Amino acid sequence: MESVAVGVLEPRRRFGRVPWLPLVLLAPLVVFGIGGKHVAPHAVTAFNLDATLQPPVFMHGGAWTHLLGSDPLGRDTFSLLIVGARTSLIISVVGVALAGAVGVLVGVAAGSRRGALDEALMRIVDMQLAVPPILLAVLLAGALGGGLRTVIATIAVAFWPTYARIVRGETLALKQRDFVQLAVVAGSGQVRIARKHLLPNLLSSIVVVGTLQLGAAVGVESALSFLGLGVQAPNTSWGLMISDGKGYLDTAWWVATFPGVAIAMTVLGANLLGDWLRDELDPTTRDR
Amino acid sequence: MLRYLSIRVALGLVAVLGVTMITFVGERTAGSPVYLMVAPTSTQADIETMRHKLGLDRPLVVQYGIFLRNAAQGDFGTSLKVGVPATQLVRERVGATVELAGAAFLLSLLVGVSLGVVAATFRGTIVDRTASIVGLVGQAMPGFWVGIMLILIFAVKLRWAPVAGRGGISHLVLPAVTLSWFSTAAFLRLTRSAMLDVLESDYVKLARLKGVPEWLVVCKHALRNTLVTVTTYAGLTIATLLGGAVIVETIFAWPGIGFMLTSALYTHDYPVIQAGVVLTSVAFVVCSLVVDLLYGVLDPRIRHGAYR
Repeated sequence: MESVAVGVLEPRRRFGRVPWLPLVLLAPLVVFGIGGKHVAPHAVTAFNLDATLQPPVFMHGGAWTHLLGSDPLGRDTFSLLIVGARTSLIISVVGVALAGAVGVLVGVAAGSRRGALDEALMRIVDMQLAVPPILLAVLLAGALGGGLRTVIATIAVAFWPTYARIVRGETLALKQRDFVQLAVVAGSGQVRIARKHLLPNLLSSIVVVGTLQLGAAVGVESALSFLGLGVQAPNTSWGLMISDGKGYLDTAWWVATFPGVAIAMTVLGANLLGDWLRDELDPTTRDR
Repeated sequence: MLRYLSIRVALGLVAVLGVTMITFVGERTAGSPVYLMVAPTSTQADIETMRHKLGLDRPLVVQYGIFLRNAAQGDFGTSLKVGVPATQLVRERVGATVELAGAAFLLSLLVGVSLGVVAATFRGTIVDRTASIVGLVGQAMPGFWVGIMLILIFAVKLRWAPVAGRGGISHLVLPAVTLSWFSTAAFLRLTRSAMLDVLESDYVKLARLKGVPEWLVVCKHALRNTLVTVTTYAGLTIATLLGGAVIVETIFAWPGIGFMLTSALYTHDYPVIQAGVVLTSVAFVVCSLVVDLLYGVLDPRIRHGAYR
Protein backbone atom coordinates (compact mmCIF):
# COMPACT_ATOMS: atom_id res chain seq x y z
CA MET A 1 0.00 0.00 0.00
CA GLU A 2 2.66 2.50 -1.02
CA SER A 3 0.15 4.69 -2.82
CA VAL A 4 -1.69 5.85 0.26
CA ALA A 5 -2.37 9.51 -0.29
CA VAL A 6 -0.69 11.83 2.13
CA GLY A 7 -3.25 13.67 4.20
CA VAL A 8 -5.82 10.90 4.20
CA LEU A 9 -6.07 10.04 7.85
CA GLU A 10 -6.60 6.47 8.74
CA PRO A 11 -9.47 6.37 11.23
CA ARG A 12 -7.90 5.90 14.67
CA ARG A 13 -8.58 2.43 15.93
CA ARG A 14 -10.19 3.02 19.25
CA PHE A 15 -9.37 -0.18 21.06
CA GLY A 16 -6.05 -1.27 19.64
CA ARG A 17 -4.83 -3.94 22.01
CA VAL A 18 -7.16 -6.36 23.70
CA PRO A 19 -6.56 -6.32 27.47
CA TRP A 20 -6.25 -10.08 27.82
CA LEU A 21 -4.94 -10.20 31.38
CA PRO A 22 -7.74 -8.16 33.01
CA LEU A 23 -10.37 -9.99 30.97
CA VAL A 24 -9.02 -13.38 32.00
CA LEU A 25 -8.84 -12.28 35.65
CA LEU A 26 -12.43 -11.00 35.60
CA ALA A 27 -13.91 -13.85 33.54
CA PRO A 28 -14.59 -16.16 36.52
CA LEU A 29 -16.45 -13.40 38.37
CA VAL A 30 -18.69 -12.72 35.38
CA VAL A 31 -19.24 -16.32 34.25
CA PHE A 32 -19.76 -17.77 37.74
CA GLY A 33 -21.56 -14.67 38.90
CA ILE A 34 -24.16 -15.06 36.17
CA GLY A 35 -24.28 -18.86 36.37
CA GLY A 36 -24.33 -18.95 40.17
CA LYS A 37 -25.57 -22.11 41.78
CA HIS A 38 -26.64 -23.56 38.42
CA VAL A 39 -23.04 -24.11 37.36
CA ALA A 40 -21.73 -25.18 40.77
CA PRO A 41 -20.84 -28.90 40.98
CA HIS A 42 -22.36 -29.25 44.44
CA ALA A 43 -25.26 -27.60 46.24
CA VAL A 44 -23.86 -25.26 48.89
CA THR A 45 -26.88 -25.54 51.14
CA ALA A 46 -26.38 -29.29 51.56
CA PHE A 47 -24.21 -30.22 54.51
CA ASN A 48 -22.31 -33.45 54.14
CA LEU A 49 -20.82 -34.46 57.44
CA ASP A 50 -19.13 -37.48 55.84
CA ALA A 51 -16.99 -35.21 53.69
CA THR A 52 -15.89 -32.43 56.05
CA LEU A 53 -12.51 -30.74 55.60
CA GLN A 54 -11.56 -32.70 52.47
CA PRO A 55 -8.21 -31.46 51.10
CA PRO A 56 -7.96 -30.07 47.55
CA VAL A 57 -7.33 -32.50 44.69
CA PHE A 58 -3.60 -31.77 44.42
CA MET A 59 -2.95 -32.73 48.05
CA HIS A 60 -2.56 -36.16 49.57
CA GLY A 61 -6.04 -37.56 50.22
CA GLY A 62 -7.72 -35.14 47.84
CA ALA A 63 -10.23 -36.24 45.24
CA TRP A 64 -11.75 -34.79 42.08
CA THR A 65 -15.20 -34.64 43.72
CA HIS A 66 -13.95 -31.69 45.77
CA LEU A 67 -11.59 -29.85 43.46
CA LEU A 68 -10.58 -27.25 46.06
CA GLY A 69 -11.51 -29.26 49.15
CA SER A 70 -14.45 -28.84 51.47
CA ASP A 71 -15.24 -26.82 54.59
CA PRO A 72 -16.04 -27.92 58.17
CA LEU A 73 -19.67 -28.53 57.18
CA GLY A 74 -18.70 -30.64 54.19
CA ARG A 75 -19.60 -27.96 51.66
CA ASP A 76 -17.55 -27.91 48.47
CA THR A 77 -15.10 -24.96 48.47
CA PHE A 78 -15.22 -24.55 44.69
CA SER A 79 -19.03 -24.44 44.70
CA LEU A 80 -18.99 -21.90 47.53
CA LEU A 81 -16.59 -19.76 45.50
CA ILE A 82 -18.94 -19.91 42.51
CA VAL A 83 -21.98 -18.92 44.55
CA GLY A 84 -19.92 -16.26 46.32
CA ALA A 85 -18.99 -14.81 42.92
CA ARG A 86 -22.65 -14.06 42.36
CA THR A 87 -22.84 -12.19 45.68
CA SER A 88 -19.74 -10.16 44.80
CA LEU A 89 -20.97 -9.42 41.29
CA ILE A 90 -24.43 -8.26 42.40
CA ILE A 91 -23.16 -6.16 45.29
CA SER A 92 -20.34 -4.48 43.41
CA VAL A 93 -22.29 -3.75 40.23
CA VAL A 94 -25.45 -2.50 41.95
CA GLY A 95 -23.52 -0.61 44.65
CA VAL A 96 -21.23 1.14 42.18
CA ALA A 97 -24.14 1.88 39.82
CA LEU A 98 -26.07 3.53 42.65
CA ALA A 99 -23.02 5.48 43.76
CA GLY A 100 -22.46 6.53 40.15
CA ALA A 101 -26.06 7.65 39.65
CA VAL A 102 -26.02 9.82 42.76
CA GLY A 103 -22.49 11.09 42.22
CA VAL A 104 -23.02 12.00 38.55
CA LEU A 105 -26.29 13.77 39.32
CA VAL A 106 -24.71 15.76 42.14
CA GLY A 107 -21.56 16.47 40.15
CA VAL A 108 -23.38 17.72 37.06
CA ALA A 109 -25.81 19.78 39.14
CA ALA A 110 -23.02 21.34 41.19
CA GLY A 111 -20.82 21.96 38.18
CA SER A 112 -23.45 23.51 35.93
CA ARG A 113 -25.39 25.56 38.46
CA ARG A 114 -22.50 26.81 40.63
CA GLY A 115 -23.56 29.21 43.38
CA ALA A 116 -25.10 28.13 46.66
CA LEU A 117 -26.07 24.67 45.41
CA ASP A 118 -22.51 23.95 44.37
CA GLU A 119 -21.14 25.19 47.70
CA ALA A 120 -23.57 23.11 49.72
CA LEU A 121 -23.07 19.92 47.70
CA MET A 122 -19.29 20.17 47.69
CA ARG A 123 -19.19 20.80 51.45
CA ILE A 124 -21.16 17.57 51.91
CA VAL A 125 -18.60 15.80 49.72
CA ASP A 126 -15.71 17.30 51.71
CA MET A 127 -17.37 16.27 54.91
CA GLN A 128 -17.75 12.72 53.85
CA LEU A 129 -14.23 12.50 52.49
CA ALA A 130 -13.11 13.54 55.98
CA VAL A 131 -14.04 10.14 57.38
CA PRO A 132 -11.96 7.00 56.81
CA PRO A 133 -14.00 5.02 54.23
CA ILE A 134 -13.62 1.70 56.00
CA LEU A 135 -14.71 3.21 59.29
CA LEU A 136 -17.71 4.73 57.54
CA ALA A 137 -18.56 1.37 55.99
CA VAL A 138 -18.23 -0.43 59.31
CA LEU A 139 -20.40 2.15 61.06
CA LEU A 140 -23.08 2.15 58.38
CA ALA A 141 -23.20 -1.60 58.10
CA GLY A 142 -23.25 -1.90 61.88
CA ALA A 143 -26.04 0.63 62.06
CA LEU A 144 -28.18 -0.79 59.25
CA GLY A 145 -27.73 -4.37 60.38
CA GLY A 146 -26.15 -7.00 58.14
CA GLY A 147 -27.41 -8.27 54.83
CA LEU A 148 -26.99 -7.90 51.10
CA ARG A 149 -28.96 -4.65 50.86
CA THR A 150 -26.99 -3.07 53.68
CA VAL A 151 -23.72 -3.77 51.92
CA ILE A 152 -25.05 -2.30 48.67
CA ALA A 153 -26.28 0.80 50.50
CA THR A 154 -22.97 1.12 52.33
CA ILE A 155 -21.00 0.97 49.09
CA ALA A 156 -23.29 3.51 47.45
CA VAL A 157 -22.97 5.92 50.38
CA ALA A 158 -19.21 5.46 50.70
CA PHE A 159 -18.40 5.76 46.99
CA TRP A 160 -20.60 8.53 45.59
CA PRO A 161 -18.37 11.47 46.65
CA THR A 162 -15.55 10.26 44.40
CA TYR A 163 -17.85 10.44 41.39
CA ALA A 164 -19.30 13.79 42.43
CA ARG A 165 -15.86 15.38 42.69
CA ILE A 166 -14.56 14.14 39.37
CA VAL A 167 -17.78 14.83 37.46
CA ARG A 168 -18.04 18.34 38.91
CA GLY A 169 -14.49 19.15 37.89
CA GLU A 170 -15.01 17.91 34.35
CA THR A 171 -18.36 19.68 34.07
CA LEU A 172 -16.70 22.99 35.00
CA ALA A 173 -14.13 22.44 32.25
CA LEU A 174 -16.70 21.36 29.66
CA LYS A 175 -18.85 24.39 30.31
CA GLN A 176 -16.07 26.61 28.94
CA ARG A 177 -15.94 24.70 25.67
CA ASP A 178 -17.36 26.26 22.54
CA PHE A 179 -20.01 23.64 21.84
CA VAL A 180 -21.57 24.11 25.26
CA GLN A 181 -21.35 27.88 25.01
CA LEU A 182 -22.99 27.71 21.58
CA ALA A 183 -25.76 25.51 22.93
CA VAL A 184 -26.39 28.12 25.61
CA VAL A 185 -26.50 30.84 22.96
CA ALA A 186 -28.87 28.70 20.89
CA GLY A 187 -31.22 28.70 23.86
CA SER A 188 -30.91 25.11 25.04
CA GLY A 189 -32.23 24.46 28.51
CA GLN A 190 -29.99 23.22 31.30
CA VAL A 191 -31.42 19.73 31.28
CA ARG A 192 -30.93 19.46 27.52
CA ILE A 193 -27.36 20.72 27.78
CA ALA A 194 -26.62 18.23 30.55
CA ARG A 195 -28.13 15.35 28.59
CA LYS A 196 -26.93 16.19 25.09
CA HIS A 197 -23.59 17.87 25.67
CA LEU A 198 -22.25 17.16 29.14
CA LEU A 199 -23.12 13.52 29.83
CA PRO A 200 -21.75 12.08 26.54
CA ASN A 201 -18.43 13.79 27.23
CA LEU A 202 -18.39 12.70 30.85
CA LEU A 203 -19.02 9.09 29.92
CA SER A 204 -15.41 7.99 29.63
CA SER A 205 -14.49 9.31 33.09
CA ILE A 206 -17.59 7.74 34.56
CA VAL A 207 -16.70 4.38 33.05
CA VAL A 208 -13.09 4.54 34.26
CA VAL A 209 -14.02 5.53 37.83
CA GLY A 210 -16.74 2.88 37.86
CA THR A 211 -14.38 0.12 36.78
CA LEU A 212 -11.80 1.05 39.42
CA GLN A 213 -14.53 1.23 42.04
CA LEU A 214 -15.84 -2.22 41.13
CA GLY A 215 -12.64 -3.69 42.52
CA ALA A 216 -12.81 -1.53 45.61
CA ALA A 217 -16.44 -2.55 46.13
CA VAL A 218 -15.53 -6.25 46.07
CA GLY A 219 -12.90 -5.45 48.71
CA VAL A 220 -15.34 -3.53 50.93
CA GLU A 221 -17.96 -6.26 50.66
CA SER A 222 -15.52 -8.97 51.67
CA ALA A 223 -14.15 -6.93 54.58
CA LEU A 224 -17.64 -6.23 55.92
CA SER A 225 -18.75 -9.83 55.53
CA PHE A 226 -15.53 -10.95 57.18
CA LEU A 227 -16.32 -8.77 60.21
CA GLY A 228 -19.83 -10.25 60.36
CA LEU A 229 -21.39 -6.93 59.33
CA GLY A 230 -22.13 -7.85 55.72
CA VAL A 231 -23.60 -10.88 54.00
CA GLN A 232 -24.97 -13.36 56.54
CA ALA A 233 -25.37 -17.14 56.41
CA PRO A 234 -27.12 -18.98 54.76
CA ASN A 235 -26.06 -16.64 51.96
CA THR A 236 -22.43 -16.91 51.11
CA SER A 237 -19.69 -14.54 50.08
CA TRP A 238 -15.93 -14.65 49.74
CA GLY A 239 -15.45 -12.56 52.86
CA LEU A 240 -17.72 -14.83 54.85
CA MET A 241 -15.76 -17.88 53.65
CA ILE A 242 -12.49 -16.35 54.88
CA SER A 243 -14.13 -15.64 58.20
CA ASP A 244 -15.36 -19.27 58.39
CA GLY A 245 -11.95 -20.63 57.45
CA LYS A 246 -10.09 -18.47 59.98
CA GLY A 247 -10.75 -20.99 62.74
CA TYR A 248 -9.38 -23.93 60.75
CA LEU A 249 -5.99 -22.62 59.67
CA ASP A 250 -4.06 -25.47 61.29
CA THR A 251 -6.23 -28.26 59.86
CA ALA A 252 -7.71 -26.85 56.64
CA TRP A 253 -5.80 -23.89 55.20
CA TRP A 254 -7.68 -24.03 51.90
CA VAL A 255 -10.99 -22.84 53.31
CA ALA A 256 -9.64 -19.33 54.01
CA THR A 257 -7.01 -19.26 51.25
CA PHE A 258 -8.94 -19.73 48.00
CA PRO A 259 -11.58 -17.01 48.54
CA GLY A 260 -8.75 -14.54 49.16
CA VAL A 261 -7.15 -15.55 45.87
CA ALA A 262 -10.51 -14.99 44.19
CA ILE A 263 -10.82 -11.51 45.70
CA ALA A 264 -7.24 -10.58 44.75
CA MET A 265 -7.80 -11.78 41.16
CA THR A 266 -11.00 -9.79 40.84
CA VAL A 267 -9.59 -6.58 42.32
CA LEU A 268 -6.43 -6.87 40.23
CA GLY A 269 -8.52 -7.47 37.11
CA ALA A 270 -10.74 -4.46 37.80
CA ASN A 271 -7.73 -2.21 38.53
CA LEU A 272 -5.93 -3.28 35.35
CA LEU A 273 -9.07 -2.90 33.26
CA GLY A 274 -9.67 0.55 34.72
CA ASP A 275 -6.09 1.62 33.96
CA TRP A 276 -6.39 0.24 30.44
CA LEU A 277 -9.68 2.01 29.82
CA ARG A 278 -8.23 5.28 31.07
CA ASP A 279 -5.29 4.96 28.70
CA GLU A 280 -7.52 4.04 25.77
CA LEU A 281 -10.12 6.72 26.36
CA ASP A 282 -7.65 9.47 27.17
CA PRO A 283 -4.35 9.00 25.33
CA THR A 284 -2.75 11.95 27.13
CA THR A 285 -2.45 9.99 30.36
CA ARG A 286 -0.79 6.99 28.74
CA ASP A 287 2.21 5.42 30.50
CA ARG A 288 1.42 6.99 33.82
CA MET B 1 -3.59 31.90 55.59
CA LEU B 2 -5.57 32.47 58.76
CA ARG B 3 -8.78 32.53 56.78
CA TYR B 4 -7.83 29.26 55.10
CA LEU B 5 -6.98 27.68 58.44
CA SER B 6 -10.20 28.74 60.13
CA ILE B 7 -12.32 27.51 57.23
CA ARG B 8 -10.53 24.17 57.32
CA VAL B 9 -10.96 23.80 61.09
CA ALA B 10 -14.64 24.73 60.84
CA LEU B 11 -15.17 22.22 58.03
CA GLY B 12 -13.41 19.56 60.08
CA LEU B 13 -15.65 20.26 63.06
CA VAL B 14 -18.74 20.01 60.84
CA ALA B 15 -17.43 16.71 59.48
CA VAL B 16 -16.91 15.28 62.96
CA LEU B 17 -20.36 16.49 63.99
CA GLY B 18 -21.83 14.85 60.91
CA VAL B 19 -20.15 11.58 61.79
CA THR B 20 -21.47 11.64 65.34
CA MET B 21 -24.94 12.31 63.99
CA ILE B 22 -24.79 9.41 61.52
CA THR B 23 -23.43 7.10 64.21
CA PHE B 24 -25.94 8.30 66.78
CA VAL B 25 -29.00 7.74 64.64
CA GLY B 26 -27.55 4.61 63.04
CA GLU B 27 -26.65 2.77 66.20
CA ARG B 28 -30.04 3.51 67.71
CA THR B 29 -31.91 2.14 64.73
CA ALA B 30 -29.66 -0.93 64.50
CA GLY B 31 -30.45 -2.39 67.88
CA SER B 32 -30.78 -1.66 71.53
CA PRO B 33 -28.39 -2.62 74.30
CA VAL B 34 -31.36 -3.02 76.64
CA TYR B 35 -31.95 -6.66 75.71
CA LEU B 36 -28.36 -7.52 76.55
CA MET B 37 -28.64 -5.80 79.93
CA VAL B 38 -31.76 -7.38 81.37
CA ALA B 39 -32.27 -10.97 82.42
CA PRO B 40 -33.67 -13.26 79.70
CA THR B 41 -36.74 -13.86 81.87
CA SER B 42 -37.54 -10.21 82.47
CA THR B 43 -40.96 -8.79 81.68
CA GLN B 44 -41.86 -5.95 79.37
CA ALA B 45 -42.07 -3.70 82.45
CA ASP B 46 -38.46 -4.53 83.40
CA ILE B 47 -37.34 -3.67 79.88
CA GLU B 48 -39.17 -0.36 80.00
CA THR B 49 -37.57 0.44 83.38
CA MET B 50 -34.13 -0.25 81.94
CA ARG B 51 -34.87 1.86 78.88
CA HIS B 52 -35.92 4.72 81.13
CA LYS B 53 -32.81 4.30 83.30
CA LEU B 54 -30.59 4.58 80.24
CA GLY B 55 -32.56 7.54 78.95
CA LEU B 56 -33.38 5.67 75.73
CA ASP B 57 -37.11 6.38 76.03
CA ARG B 58 -36.62 10.08 75.31
CA PRO B 59 -36.96 11.59 71.83
CA LEU B 60 -33.89 11.05 69.64
CA VAL B 61 -33.25 14.78 69.27
CA VAL B 62 -33.22 15.23 73.05
CA GLN B 63 -30.85 12.28 73.43
CA TYR B 64 -28.53 13.74 70.81
CA GLY B 65 -28.64 17.15 72.49
CA ILE B 66 -27.70 15.64 75.83
CA PHE B 67 -24.91 13.68 74.14
CA LEU B 68 -23.50 16.82 72.51
CA ARG B 69 -23.65 18.81 75.75
CA ASN B 70 -21.80 16.11 77.67
CA ALA B 71 -19.33 15.41 74.85
CA ALA B 72 -18.40 19.10 74.71
CA GLN B 73 -17.33 18.70 78.34
CA GLY B 74 -15.35 15.57 77.54
CA ASP B 75 -17.94 13.15 78.92
CA PHE B 76 -18.98 10.43 76.50
CA GLY B 77 -20.91 8.43 79.07
CA THR B 78 -20.21 5.13 80.73
CA SER B 79 -19.71 1.89 78.86
CA LEU B 80 -22.90 -0.12 79.11
CA LYS B 81 -20.94 -3.34 79.07
CA VAL B 82 -18.03 -2.82 81.46
CA GLY B 83 -19.32 0.14 83.48
CA VAL B 84 -16.19 2.26 82.98
CA PRO B 85 -16.25 5.77 81.46
CA ALA B 86 -15.90 5.49 77.67
CA THR B 87 -13.14 8.10 77.60
CA GLN B 88 -11.11 6.02 80.05
CA LEU B 89 -11.49 2.95 77.80
CA VAL B 90 -10.35 4.99 74.83
CA ARG B 91 -7.38 6.38 76.75
CA GLU B 92 -6.29 2.88 77.77
CA ARG B 93 -6.43 1.67 74.20
CA VAL B 94 -5.20 4.55 72.14
CA GLY B 95 -1.56 3.66 72.84
CA ALA B 96 -1.93 0.24 71.25
CA THR B 97 -3.43 1.72 68.09
CA VAL B 98 -0.76 4.41 67.85
CA GLU B 99 1.94 1.77 68.27
CA LEU B 100 0.43 -0.42 65.54
CA ALA B 101 -0.39 2.36 63.09
CA GLY B 102 2.97 4.04 63.69
CA ALA B 103 4.90 0.85 63.03
CA ALA B 104 2.83 0.18 59.90
CA PHE B 105 3.37 3.75 58.69
CA LEU B 106 7.15 3.61 59.07
CA LEU B 107 7.26 0.18 57.48
CA SER B 108 5.22 1.17 54.44
CA LEU B 109 7.14 4.42 54.00
CA LEU B 110 10.57 2.78 54.24
CA VAL B 111 9.83 -0.28 52.14
CA GLY B 112 7.48 1.38 49.66
CA VAL B 113 9.60 4.45 48.93
CA SER B 114 12.90 2.58 48.67
CA LEU B 115 11.42 -0.04 46.35
CA GLY B 116 9.88 2.74 44.29
CA VAL B 117 13.20 4.58 43.99
CA VAL B 118 15.01 1.39 43.02
CA ALA B 119 12.35 0.55 40.43
CA ALA B 120 12.51 4.01 38.85
CA THR B 121 16.32 4.09 38.83
CA PHE B 122 16.49 0.76 37.05
CA ARG B 123 13.57 1.54 34.77
CA GLY B 124 12.60 -1.23 32.38
CA THR B 125 14.87 -3.85 33.95
CA ILE B 126 13.78 -7.05 35.63
CA VAL B 127 14.02 -5.24 39.01
CA ASP B 128 11.54 -2.62 37.87
CA ARG B 129 9.16 -5.18 36.38
CA THR B 130 9.19 -7.28 39.55
CA ALA B 131 8.63 -4.25 41.78
CA SER B 132 5.75 -3.07 39.62
CA ILE B 133 4.08 -6.46 39.65
CA VAL B 134 4.55 -6.73 43.42
CA GLY B 135 2.94 -3.29 43.77
CA LEU B 136 -0.03 -4.12 41.57
CA VAL B 137 -0.71 -7.52 43.10
CA GLY B 138 -0.07 -6.23 46.63
CA GLN B 139 -2.66 -3.52 46.19
CA ALA B 140 -5.22 -6.05 44.99
CA MET B 141 -4.96 -8.38 47.97
CA PRO B 142 -7.48 -7.68 50.73
CA GLY B 143 -5.64 -6.64 53.90
CA PHE B 144 -7.54 -8.89 56.26
CA TRP B 145 -6.80 -11.90 54.10
CA VAL B 146 -3.10 -11.04 53.99
CA GLY B 147 -3.26 -11.00 57.80
CA ILE B 148 -4.81 -14.46 57.91
CA MET B 149 -2.26 -15.81 55.42
CA LEU B 150 0.56 -14.37 57.56
CA ILE B 151 -0.95 -16.06 60.62
CA LEU B 152 -1.22 -19.31 58.65
CA ILE B 153 2.40 -19.24 57.48
CA PHE B 154 4.31 -17.60 60.32
CA ALA B 155 2.21 -18.38 63.38
CA VAL B 156 0.51 -21.69 62.63
CA LYS B 157 2.99 -23.48 60.33
CA LEU B 158 6.42 -22.02 61.18
CA ARG B 159 5.54 -20.89 64.73
CA TRP B 160 7.83 -17.87 64.46
CA ALA B 161 5.32 -15.37 65.83
CA PRO B 162 2.34 -15.47 68.18
CA VAL B 163 -1.14 -15.71 66.65
CA ALA B 164 -2.66 -12.73 68.43
CA GLY B 165 -2.48 -10.29 71.32
CA ARG B 166 -0.11 -7.50 72.27
CA GLY B 167 3.31 -7.82 73.82
CA GLY B 168 6.85 -7.38 72.60
CA ILE B 169 8.10 -6.84 69.08
CA SER B 170 7.19 -10.42 68.10
CA HIS B 171 3.52 -9.62 68.67
CA LEU B 172 3.80 -6.44 66.64
CA VAL B 173 5.39 -7.82 63.47
CA LEU B 174 2.45 -9.65 61.87
CA PRO B 175 -0.25 -7.02 62.51
CA ALA B 176 2.09 -4.21 61.44
CA VAL B 177 3.02 -5.94 58.18
CA THR B 178 -0.68 -6.67 57.52
CA LEU B 179 -1.73 -3.09 58.15
CA SER B 180 1.13 -1.67 56.08
CA TRP B 181 0.50 -4.01 53.15
CA PHE B 182 -1.76 -1.87 51.02
CA SER B 183 0.09 1.38 51.75
CA THR B 184 3.47 -0.15 50.95
CA ALA B 185 2.21 -1.16 47.52
CA ALA B 186 0.68 2.28 47.04
CA PHE B 187 3.89 4.09 48.09
CA LEU B 188 5.87 1.90 45.73
CA ARG B 189 3.73 2.73 42.70
CA LEU B 190 3.48 6.40 43.58
CA THR B 191 7.21 6.88 44.26
CA ARG B 192 8.17 5.06 41.08
CA SER B 193 5.87 7.19 38.95
CA ALA B 194 6.94 10.48 40.64
CA MET B 195 10.63 9.55 40.35
CA LEU B 196 10.26 8.80 36.65
CA ASP B 197 8.81 12.28 36.14
CA VAL B 198 11.60 13.95 38.06
CA LEU B 199 14.37 11.94 36.40
CA GLU B 200 13.21 13.31 33.03
CA SER B 201 13.34 16.91 34.21
CA ASP B 202 15.79 19.57 33.09
CA TYR B 203 17.48 20.04 36.44
CA VAL B 204 18.30 16.36 36.68
CA LYS B 205 19.72 16.47 33.15
CA LEU B 206 21.76 19.50 34.13
CA ALA B 207 23.07 17.76 37.24
CA ARG B 208 24.16 14.83 35.08
CA LEU B 209 25.84 17.15 32.57
CA LYS B 210 27.71 18.82 35.42
CA GLY B 211 29.12 15.39 36.18
CA VAL B 212 27.35 14.78 39.46
CA PRO B 213 27.63 11.06 40.26
CA GLU B 214 24.48 9.13 39.42
CA TRP B 215 23.81 7.98 43.00
CA LEU B 216 23.92 11.60 44.14
CA VAL B 217 21.58 12.65 41.34
CA VAL B 218 19.10 10.00 42.45
CA CYS B 219 19.39 10.61 46.19
CA LYS B 220 19.63 14.38 46.20
CA HIS B 221 18.15 15.93 43.09
CA ALA B 222 15.48 13.41 42.26
CA LEU B 223 14.39 11.96 45.58
CA ARG B 224 14.00 15.32 47.30
CA ASN B 225 11.62 16.53 44.67
CA THR B 226 9.68 13.30 44.78
CA LEU B 227 9.07 13.85 48.48
CA VAL B 228 6.34 16.46 47.85
CA THR B 229 4.18 13.86 46.19
CA VAL B 230 5.08 11.29 48.81
CA THR B 231 4.14 13.64 51.66
CA THR B 232 0.71 14.31 50.26
CA TYR B 233 0.12 10.63 50.01
CA ALA B 234 1.55 10.03 53.49
CA GLY B 235 -1.32 12.01 55.00
CA LEU B 236 -3.87 9.90 53.16
CA THR B 237 -1.97 6.84 54.33
CA ILE B 238 -2.35 7.74 58.00
CA ALA B 239 -6.08 7.94 57.35
CA THR B 240 -6.10 4.60 55.53
CA LEU B 241 -4.14 3.05 58.40
CA LEU B 242 -6.55 4.37 61.03
CA GLY B 243 -9.46 2.86 59.13
CA GLY B 244 -7.60 -0.35 58.37
CA ALA B 245 -6.70 -0.72 62.03
CA VAL B 246 -10.35 -1.49 62.72
CA ILE B 247 -10.06 -4.69 60.70
CA VAL B 248 -6.47 -5.65 61.50
CA GLU B 249 -6.95 -5.21 65.25
CA THR B 250 -9.99 -7.45 65.08
CA ILE B 251 -8.07 -10.24 63.33
CA PHE B 252 -5.12 -10.14 65.72
CA ALA B 253 -7.13 -9.33 68.86
CA TRP B 254 -4.90 -6.25 69.18
CA PRO B 255 -6.28 -4.25 72.14
CA GLY B 256 -6.65 -0.90 70.35
CA ILE B 257 -9.41 1.50 69.37
CA GLY B 258 -10.43 -0.55 66.31
CA PHE B 259 -10.91 -3.79 68.21
CA MET B 260 -12.81 -1.85 70.87
CA LEU B 261 -15.06 -0.37 68.17
CA THR B 262 -16.02 -3.63 66.50
CA SER B 263 -16.66 -5.32 69.86
CA ALA B 264 -18.81 -2.37 70.93
CA LEU B 265 -20.75 -2.55 67.64
CA TYR B 266 -21.80 -6.14 68.35
CA THR B 267 -23.04 -5.29 71.87
CA HIS B 268 -24.56 -1.91 70.90
CA ASP B 269 -22.41 -0.22 73.53
CA TYR B 270 -23.38 3.31 72.38
CA PRO B 271 -21.03 5.44 74.53
CA VAL B 272 -17.95 3.41 73.55
CA ILE B 273 -18.86 3.52 69.84
CA GLN B 274 -19.28 7.29 69.97
CA ALA B 275 -16.04 7.91 71.84
CA GLY B 276 -14.05 5.72 69.45
CA VAL B 277 -15.63 7.23 66.35
CA VAL B 278 -15.07 10.81 67.49
CA LEU B 279 -11.42 10.11 68.28
CA THR B 280 -10.79 8.42 64.92
CA SER B 281 -12.50 11.08 62.84
CA VAL B 282 -10.76 13.91 64.73
CA ALA B 283 -7.42 12.20 64.11
CA PHE B 284 -8.33 11.86 60.43
CA VAL B 285 -9.30 15.52 60.07
CA VAL B 286 -6.16 16.72 61.87
CA CYS B 287 -3.92 14.52 59.71
CA SER B 288 -5.34 15.79 56.44
CA LEU B 289 -5.05 19.40 57.63
CA VAL B 290 -1.43 18.97 58.70
CA VAL B 291 -0.59 17.41 55.35
CA ASP B 292 -2.20 20.24 53.40
CA LEU B 293 -0.19 22.76 55.39
CA LEU B 294 3.04 20.75 54.98
CA TYR B 295 2.41 20.63 51.27
CA GLY B 296 2.61 24.42 51.12
CA VAL B 297 5.83 24.42 53.14
CA LEU B 298 7.49 21.80 50.94
CA ASP B 299 6.45 23.37 47.68
CA PRO B 300 6.42 27.18 47.91
CA ARG B 301 4.65 27.36 44.56
CA ILE B 302 1.48 26.40 46.37
CA ARG B 303 -0.12 29.24 48.24
CA HIS B 304 -2.93 28.94 50.69
CA GLY B 305 -4.00 32.53 50.13
CA ALA B 306 -7.49 31.71 48.98
CA TYR B 307 -9.53 28.70 49.85
CA ARG B 308 -10.01 26.43 46.84
